[in-house]
Amino acid sequence: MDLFPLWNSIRIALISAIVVFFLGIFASYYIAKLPRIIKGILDVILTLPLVLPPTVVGYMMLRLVGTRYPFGQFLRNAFNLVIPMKWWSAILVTIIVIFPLMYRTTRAAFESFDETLGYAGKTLGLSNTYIFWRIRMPYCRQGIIAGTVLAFARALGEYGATSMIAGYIKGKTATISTTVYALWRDGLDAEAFKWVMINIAISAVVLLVVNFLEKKEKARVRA
Amino acid sequence: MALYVDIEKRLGTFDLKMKFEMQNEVLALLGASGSGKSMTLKCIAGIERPDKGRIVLDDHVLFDSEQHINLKPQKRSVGYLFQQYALFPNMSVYQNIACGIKGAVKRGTADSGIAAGGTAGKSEKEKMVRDIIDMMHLNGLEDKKPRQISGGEQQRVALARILVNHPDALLLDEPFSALDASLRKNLVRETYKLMKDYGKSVIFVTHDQKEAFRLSESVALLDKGVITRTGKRDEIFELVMQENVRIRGDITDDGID
Repeated sequence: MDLFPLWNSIRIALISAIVVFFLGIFASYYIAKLPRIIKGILDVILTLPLVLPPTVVGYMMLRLVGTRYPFGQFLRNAFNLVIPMKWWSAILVTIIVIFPLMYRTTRAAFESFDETLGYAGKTLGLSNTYIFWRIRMPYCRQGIIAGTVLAFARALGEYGATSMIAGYIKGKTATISTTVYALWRDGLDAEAFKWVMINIAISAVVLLVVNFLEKKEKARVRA
Repeated sequence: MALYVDIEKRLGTFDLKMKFEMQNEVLALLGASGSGKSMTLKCIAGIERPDKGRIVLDDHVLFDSEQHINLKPQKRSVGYLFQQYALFPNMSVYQNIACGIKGAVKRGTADSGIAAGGTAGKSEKEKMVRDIIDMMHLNGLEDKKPRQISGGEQQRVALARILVNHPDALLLDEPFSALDASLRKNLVRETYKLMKDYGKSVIFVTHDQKEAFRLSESVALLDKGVITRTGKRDEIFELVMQENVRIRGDITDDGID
């Protein structure tokens, strides 16, 4: 059995989750400080991918970087860069699809932060960077971990946008979810079923990890 | 002069207009909740920005609206004891105290030799923390997290964390309000001695007359953002007793016992 889809899915999900980890933290920290109207507008835009069908995200990404469209043509002519149909092109859309999960959970976590801790740090002469990474982040740790794991899990399951931008090329762009569809379409039911079981197993493990972390956190709080 | 404050700030229902000067002494700011006491402290510490005015601490201009000076809290060398102490919950008692000494200190990683650039070396930092732990009677609590120790201990840790940096002024925001009444009496005495011995400008904010008179050398009465009376403790005490001055709100008026 060719395990390429497993490896490809995991690397796409992992890279996307890492990027979104930083992007989500950065966005939720700075957007919280913006004036209300701008905050409201950005909130809608950044959360939109959560409710849009992933195919819409895929379509819009293709309109942008597809070789039939101006910007995509420019990229090909100027840099010899063709984005669609690469394994990593899935990362571009996956980041957009999973971003809202990270953004929403992280922002809620930051909003629960007790600001006097930050003030105390400042009067003690601690730099803003120190306060952010050593006081604010640990305080909001649970929410941030939850957001990251959720984003990673969602990235593993990404199908719609991925199939549009990266397509299904066996051994090149195939992910678990696109493989399931491709196998089933070709009537290879038994093969498809194997991948379905693998997918369920991975998702179960991810959820187990989340539960374990939560239990550990509760035990830590109780101690 | 040690501390000079002359600031104005628009608040919701009234304007804060604070003007006072103090020497190296313990000054109590006494007023009802919402009279602008905490806001005054926050302006001195640099957490809040006054609309206009000037704050000078030992010839060191902290804020001056005309000269566009507004030092960051980090640059003011002003210690601030928060009402709920604001200990960092993810750090041990030791780390809470150590973290403010020009960068973090990790326990048990002491090396000899003092780092270049005038910052305290690790062994020097360790010694500073050890000394303050001894002074504040916190021995044995080093590895505990803030939630694992009592309210009184939390207050001592918060004070230790501030004093280890030797700030040029101390601001205490309702330092006893988070404590049980039984604990309070002893702590008030201890804290007063500590603040008096510190020998620098100490402002302490309270809505409790008893505390204000027990814990200060001078008292300023605050009402709706303005100082109505100020003077030596005994003068103000006399005044309050004779004229039976009542400040709006929740001030107790049973004097000193």
